Amino acid sequence: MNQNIPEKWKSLYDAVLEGNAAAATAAVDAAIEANESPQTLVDEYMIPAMDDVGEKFEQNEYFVPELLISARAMKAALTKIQPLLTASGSQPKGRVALGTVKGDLHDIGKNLVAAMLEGGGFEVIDLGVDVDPDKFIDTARASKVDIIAMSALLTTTMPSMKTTIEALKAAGVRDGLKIMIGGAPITQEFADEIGADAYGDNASTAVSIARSLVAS
Amino acid sequence: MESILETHRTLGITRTMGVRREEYVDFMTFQENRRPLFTEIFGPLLGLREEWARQGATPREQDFSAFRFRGPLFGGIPVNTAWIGGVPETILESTPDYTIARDRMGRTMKLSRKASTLPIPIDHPVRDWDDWLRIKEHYAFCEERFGQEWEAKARAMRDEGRVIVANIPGGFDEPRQLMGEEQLCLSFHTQPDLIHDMLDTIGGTAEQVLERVTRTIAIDQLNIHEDMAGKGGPLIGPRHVRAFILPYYTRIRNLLDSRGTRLFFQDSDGDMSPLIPAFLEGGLNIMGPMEPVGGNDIVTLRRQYGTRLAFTGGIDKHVLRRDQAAITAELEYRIPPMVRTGGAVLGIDHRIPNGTPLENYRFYINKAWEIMDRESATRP
Repeated sequence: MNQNIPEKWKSLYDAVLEGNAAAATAAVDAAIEANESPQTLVDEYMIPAMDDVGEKFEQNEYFVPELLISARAMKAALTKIQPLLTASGSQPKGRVALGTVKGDLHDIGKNLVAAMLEGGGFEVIDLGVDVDPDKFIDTARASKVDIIAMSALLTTTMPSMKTTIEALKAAGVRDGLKIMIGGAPITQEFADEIGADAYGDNASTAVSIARSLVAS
Repeated sequence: MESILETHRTLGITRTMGVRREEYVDFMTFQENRRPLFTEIFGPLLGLREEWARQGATPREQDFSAFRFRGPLFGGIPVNTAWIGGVPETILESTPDYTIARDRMGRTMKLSRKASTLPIPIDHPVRDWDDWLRIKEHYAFCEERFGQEWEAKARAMRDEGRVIVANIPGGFDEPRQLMGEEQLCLSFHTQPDLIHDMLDTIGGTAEQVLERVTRTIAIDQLNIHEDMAGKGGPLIGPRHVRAFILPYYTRIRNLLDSRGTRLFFQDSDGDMSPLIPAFLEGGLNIMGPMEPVGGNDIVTLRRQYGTRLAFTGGIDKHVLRRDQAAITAELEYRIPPMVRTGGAVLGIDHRIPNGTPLENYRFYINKAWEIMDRESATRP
């Protein structure tokens, strides 16, 4: 848990941690009114709050309901702040295109990862479910993404991850990308086997993995 | 294709009765431990039969009657405690890759035909109170909930020695079917009264149906399908279980306890360990299919919960694709403690994965029995 949250706008941190969207937007309004830097609000209050949500999630103190309401509060606050960030030329921590692989229609895991990545300061391009390898390739080319993130819930759709990585290689876009994968049947061993750069065990660890991939 | 569930049905396997209901109930309540129970819970995954055919499987191996299992047969009482009525299922579109249908709840369902046997809802009928009130009548008590000659059929199944089971909707699963996972999870916080009303309605109807059933038919086992966890843990926490789901479970359990039901079984994938204490409070005493890759180790859980909790499944399905040494190691770890203590219908945790060589499966069955027979012979 973050012990060093500045008192000034701690109400924003608390609102995101507690999943109170109304309080989060009210805190943002007050901060902006007081000419606080939007980037400071994101970096010093909102992202630390979502990091702590992730930590509580990993420790079985928070579960999906708490994670979702915190992500919703984060999103509500970001909606207010985003235009100011854009105007100031602020950049996201990284750009991630994610989707559930071809043949697989499950989306809860992918959606939780998307919510946590957004909460971690990443720009997320959600490609949805049953994503064809070509769609990952097109997005990688068109949107200059840093990371491709793939999810699979079914044992039978795990091979689609390998197919997608091979397609990215064949299209000549693999080298400029990091690839992370996750999902119920996925293991580190499988990630190594198919040439993914990283494997994430849950939505919370996906954020720290994405940060280390971007940093590398 | 007549139904979007057709593929799922074609994967059925042939089972025979290995134990009668009396032995099963005593075994799963740790009252008596004659010999181990061992079964194939689900059967093959899509495409495995074709793989095995190419490897020379006999017809009896294809329908699994060639393999030695020992387990009960179940007899579901033909009554309905869940959604009733609605629109007839309609296939909207079917291609080699997928089938899209409208189900009886009015949901658009999509089946990825090459990857799965079960369709996924693309939309859901309930987002808020107004939606719920519009469809609530489908959970009301009515005479149509009792199938034709339900009592005679139940008696016949009981006389055959089948374990008599009744089903109620999951306290998480049924609202999920109506709302979707994310909307439900949010609603625990944003619309708690709505969830309470759903479970109060469903519970009331289930209670009325089962009250009538148990006037004349003893239910051996209550089944509750939840599927509420992944390998990272359950979707909801003990707080949600205690606040929303246990009142519903307890209501049914109190009725059935008073009518002699001894087994309360919950079906859920994934790592349920954070929720086990809460569900034990609610009266569950069997959980399955205990998925090792989901973090459910029956050996550890048996040490932790002893005779308070029986299991089904528990053997890692993925080991079947590895070598014989790995299969042996898995079975030598999981089986002996269960043979010593009873209260487990052993088997792999889900469908047999594609890529499982037929030879490995034959080895798995033989090795499992070798260990079970050895442990049974040396058991005090």
